Amino acid sequence: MEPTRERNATLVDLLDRVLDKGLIINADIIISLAGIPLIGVNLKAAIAGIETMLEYGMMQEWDETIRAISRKEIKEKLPLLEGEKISGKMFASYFYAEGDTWRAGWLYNTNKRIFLFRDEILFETALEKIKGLVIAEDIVDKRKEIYLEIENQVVKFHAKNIFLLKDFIKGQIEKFGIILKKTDVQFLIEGQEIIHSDKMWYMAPADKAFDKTWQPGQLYLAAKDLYWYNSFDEKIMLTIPINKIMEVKIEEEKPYNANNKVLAVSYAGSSKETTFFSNSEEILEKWENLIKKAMPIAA
Amino acid sequence: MVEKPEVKKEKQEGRYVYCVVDKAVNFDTAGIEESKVYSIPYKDICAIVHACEAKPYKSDNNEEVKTWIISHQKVIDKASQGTTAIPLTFDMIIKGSDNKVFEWLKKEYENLKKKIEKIKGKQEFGIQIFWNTKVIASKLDIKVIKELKNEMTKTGKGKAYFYEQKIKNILQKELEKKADQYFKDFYSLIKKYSDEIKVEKLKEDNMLANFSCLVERNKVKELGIELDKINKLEGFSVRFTGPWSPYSFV
Repeated sequence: MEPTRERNATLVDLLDRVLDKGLIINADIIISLAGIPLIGVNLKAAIAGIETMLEYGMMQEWDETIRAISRKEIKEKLPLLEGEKISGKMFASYFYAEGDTWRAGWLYNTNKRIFLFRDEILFETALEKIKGLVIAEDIVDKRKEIYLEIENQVVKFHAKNIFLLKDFIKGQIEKFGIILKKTDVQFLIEGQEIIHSDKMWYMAPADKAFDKTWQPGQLYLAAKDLYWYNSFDEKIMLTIPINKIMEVKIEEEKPYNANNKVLAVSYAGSSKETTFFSNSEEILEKWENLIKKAMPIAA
Repeated sequence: MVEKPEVKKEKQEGRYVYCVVDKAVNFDTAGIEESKVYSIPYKDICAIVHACEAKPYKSDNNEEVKTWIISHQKVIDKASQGTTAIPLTFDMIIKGSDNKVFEWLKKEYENLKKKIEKIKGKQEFGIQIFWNTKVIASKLDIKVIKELKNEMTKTGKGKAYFYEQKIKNILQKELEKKADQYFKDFYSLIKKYSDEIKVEKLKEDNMLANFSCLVERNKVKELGIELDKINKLEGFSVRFTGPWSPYSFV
């Protein structure tokens, strides 16, 4: 095979080399270059995506000089508290419930707070007020969100790579010795009262290794949503808004085992989708009734 | 962003250095932002520079930065024709006039000559090897997994989940072993044709190896033939980029 230098295919390779490598002249005779690697960082971030940068620890590679510069830049704009130091930032958005809208900005981790900034502080909380954190999927939007429990309130965050956002927040909190409590589903439900809950098997969709798997967990019926909590991963894997549920019925489990009954819940996602739960027939019947009762139009 | 090649009196002047070449060359071309690029010789080497204000090129506009970087590379490409060139990293600006560059060359002469010797007649290439773990996993023939799968078909769904987890873990470990083995194999294969190899960070999920290699010109073709073989293996693909100036080896 022939080596290529076709520009679009190799831009990242070129950047890697021109910005990170090559001969460096010793610092005393060149102009102060402290701020310059930022060009590289910014540009590569734009190409690779800021999340990738964080993922590969490039942010940590910033040396003290660059940190000093970014601290200085930040100081000019950001209203920091006394003794407050920024340790990282990530682009994220936060659901502003009063306005019923998402607000995007840079989410800053500091030694005192986590705050979201764009021209002004859009959201802030002291680290010690954060009690819990969980990732949950919004079935309608088809995307995962982070729910943070802060004292008595729950706030919702989103980022392109939600797992990085989770590590970003969680890492910071834990660095300061705050231990998040084990995921408590209760707070997720944002003030919704839990109507009923049972242990329940859930047919997890196919992933890399397997077609489908039954996974153990807990099913929750709340005022507005149906949640399934994965006991292994300790997170909410499924959220179905009650008003999206189209049909609920007990079926035979095919093709696995026709003697076994499963609860099939169909809802309007991007198309009509059906998800399956399993338990004893008695419990399934109870849930069939519960869900039917909760549904706005009798199924 | 205003970066004019004409140096104003009240501002400190500087020299943007692109590379150092091993011959006294006359160089006259356009560089970053159409600046006039020229050479500053010392003995048998010279620095390829343009005059600018002693201020870094800095911009929030990525397109602009991209253009700078491509210009930086173009100048080095041109300077490398018929010479051995040590590429400098972007934005190396020496404070002062030609004189300062000259002093730098003088002071660093031995060092620069050593580097030139090292890279003479060689070019840098990027080699990235990707693998499709699904394909590789499907070809793995592992007795334990077969047995587990067999047992699993005879068990209830509750237990099946645990079997599946177990199989996943075994597969994961096997794949890691495979990755190690392939990495070593590919490394030694590429090493045969390379003077030096730098192992770079893996930048994507399915990347198995990422190398920067310093290769003699007359070995590039053979290296390409070997890479072709890897590329044809089921479940593998290879990205071969270059030739680059030897950025990773200076």
